[in-house]
Amino acid sequence: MIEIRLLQKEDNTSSFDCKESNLNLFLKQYAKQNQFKHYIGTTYVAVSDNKIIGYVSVSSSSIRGDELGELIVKKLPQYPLPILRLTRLAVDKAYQQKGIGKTLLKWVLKLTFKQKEQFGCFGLVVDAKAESVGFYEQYGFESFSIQSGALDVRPYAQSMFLSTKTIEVGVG
Amino acid sequence: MSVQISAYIEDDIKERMERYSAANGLKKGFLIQNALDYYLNALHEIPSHMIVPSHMTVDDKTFNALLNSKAKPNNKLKKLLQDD
Repeated sequence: MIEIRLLQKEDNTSSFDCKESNLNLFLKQYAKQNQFKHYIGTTYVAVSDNKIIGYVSVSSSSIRGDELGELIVKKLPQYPLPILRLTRLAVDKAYQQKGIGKTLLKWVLKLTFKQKEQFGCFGLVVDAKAESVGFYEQYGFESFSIQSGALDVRPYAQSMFLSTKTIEVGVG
Repeated sequence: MSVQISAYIEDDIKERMERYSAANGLKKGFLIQNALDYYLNALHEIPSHMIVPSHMTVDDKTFNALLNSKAKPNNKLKKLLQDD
């Protein structure tokens, strides 16, 4: 039985290993700081037999146009639109290829919908590693380029978008 | 209050410390104390690659495309969202 819940202060993150050092380091060293000290991001964990087998981190964010183009800017809102940003998703190497990532994504999609209901959310933006782009594309996420506000990670993450409207219709 | 500590360190680090100490006229104790202070503070800082910028900017064409994104959910997304 897999439970998805908020990361807790007392959670043991030390044994988590998804084979990617940056994603391991984030969970072990920074996820709790972000959530409990700085309040700049939230991490949800997939737990099985009291062991963290996967996690996903999200932050509220916003997106806006650069207002520099000569497009029909009048039609565009002149204010940033609220979004939910999925910044990291990882599954322990012993549990990969078992649908844990899909379950975590589903959790975030529903979280996007809840955020829309509670205080507004235009869509979900994912910062995807190159090798994960296909995973998100299969659910309808579309790649787009950003001018500023990218994660400071190497190699660069690909920004991908799915509108809340699409999620809403999908929920049925 | 100052206290004395004792620790084994790599010999090349010791040599670098002694060279720097001699070249700048700084006591070794002062250097070690400052180095430890910097190190311990750094552990509590969040490096830039762990920070999520709170705003994203895209060009107007992309913004317009996102605004008008009315894609119907595909079957995989529907199945994912409705499969409980």
